[in-house]
Amino acid sequence: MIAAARYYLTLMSRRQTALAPLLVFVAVLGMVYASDAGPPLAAGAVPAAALVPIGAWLMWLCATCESRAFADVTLVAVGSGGRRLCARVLAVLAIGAALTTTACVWARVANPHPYPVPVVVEIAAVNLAAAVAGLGLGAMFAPPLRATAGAATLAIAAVVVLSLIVPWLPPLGPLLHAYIGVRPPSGAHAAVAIGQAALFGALLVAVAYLRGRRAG
Amino acid sequence: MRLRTVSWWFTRRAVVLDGIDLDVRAGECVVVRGLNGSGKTTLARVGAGALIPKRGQVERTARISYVPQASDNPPIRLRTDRFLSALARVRGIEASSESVDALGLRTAMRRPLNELSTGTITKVLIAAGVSGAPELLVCDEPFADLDTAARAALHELLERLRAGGTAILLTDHSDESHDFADRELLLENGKFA
Repeated sequence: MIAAARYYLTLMSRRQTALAPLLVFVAVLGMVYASDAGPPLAAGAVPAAALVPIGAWLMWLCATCESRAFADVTLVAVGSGGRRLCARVLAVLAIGAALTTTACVWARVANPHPYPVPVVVEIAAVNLAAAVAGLGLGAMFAPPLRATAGAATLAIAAVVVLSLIVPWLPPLGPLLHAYIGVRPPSGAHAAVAIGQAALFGALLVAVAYLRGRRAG
Repeated sequence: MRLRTVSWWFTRRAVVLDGIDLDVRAGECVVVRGLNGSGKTTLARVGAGALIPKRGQVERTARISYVPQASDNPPIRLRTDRFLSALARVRGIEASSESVDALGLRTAMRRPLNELSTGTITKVLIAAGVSGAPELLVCDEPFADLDTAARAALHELLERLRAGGTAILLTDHSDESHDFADRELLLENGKFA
């Protein structure tokens, strides 16, 4: 499984299109922290929110980084569609962890506010939960589901926009409501929102896993 | 490998495999022939485990290798040697240089996959498939796109694997596999004739 995840990471690192979501994330960080971004947690929630569509984008790229023939070879080598999905999830999760680290370091360096360790840990948790939600969303609409890139983009965008509009709809609604809507952010609210986002992603990965086992 | 009443379809009107029964025993080479669109590739994919049948049962051994048709150039800027060693790690085996030498792939080892010709890609897929002495090897038209020397090398590699007890399922258009096939089956409209 780890070898397969490393293989997917290698393929992603050789794929120029994988640079686009990374650059978008860097651009979001640059815009948020261009001047005084305000309280650390509220400021940190904005790049974290961007990690949902970016995570989905990365997952789509990971699922489409091979031609059909090579994807079949990998599938047979890994053993099942479910195991292949786990390898892809691990690969994208590793990228999500790297982006989370970037977000924490960038915030600490660029925002002129105190960043005690608990705050940094909370920002990291929000980012990781958002990345999990994003990769779950990507896993739902990526192959083996026979959706075109356009249809998958529309579906993912619809979920993201809807959860931005409806405050109780995960992954983004509760997350942004907890950190940006409530001042100062309540710890309980935040913990529930982080949990919801992570659970949302995990559930979608589970659904994709079951589908992968059936579809091969 | 054992297939029992295996069926696969796109839609109910476009049935590709229709109740296929097939056994391939250890050390046996079964060649499936058929016209374009007769279902050979789907049968190979189902046999290898790259496709789950819509109906029926498939029993396989643990160590399977699949050599698909290299009909498309992979969008992968990964060096051939790195691809082969990464795939070997995924399969939990040692990357073999024997098949690389036999197929004349030495010069292609340091080139990225997306710069190789279709024939060389086929050789790379064969080299990946035959290494590690799999218990079951499924090859989808492996002789297509190969030059004469590579065909002879593939013959030899397959013979060696069969002698070592590997069960081989081969789909083929040509007469290349006629000599060493233990059984030849004709697939017509998703059924064995």
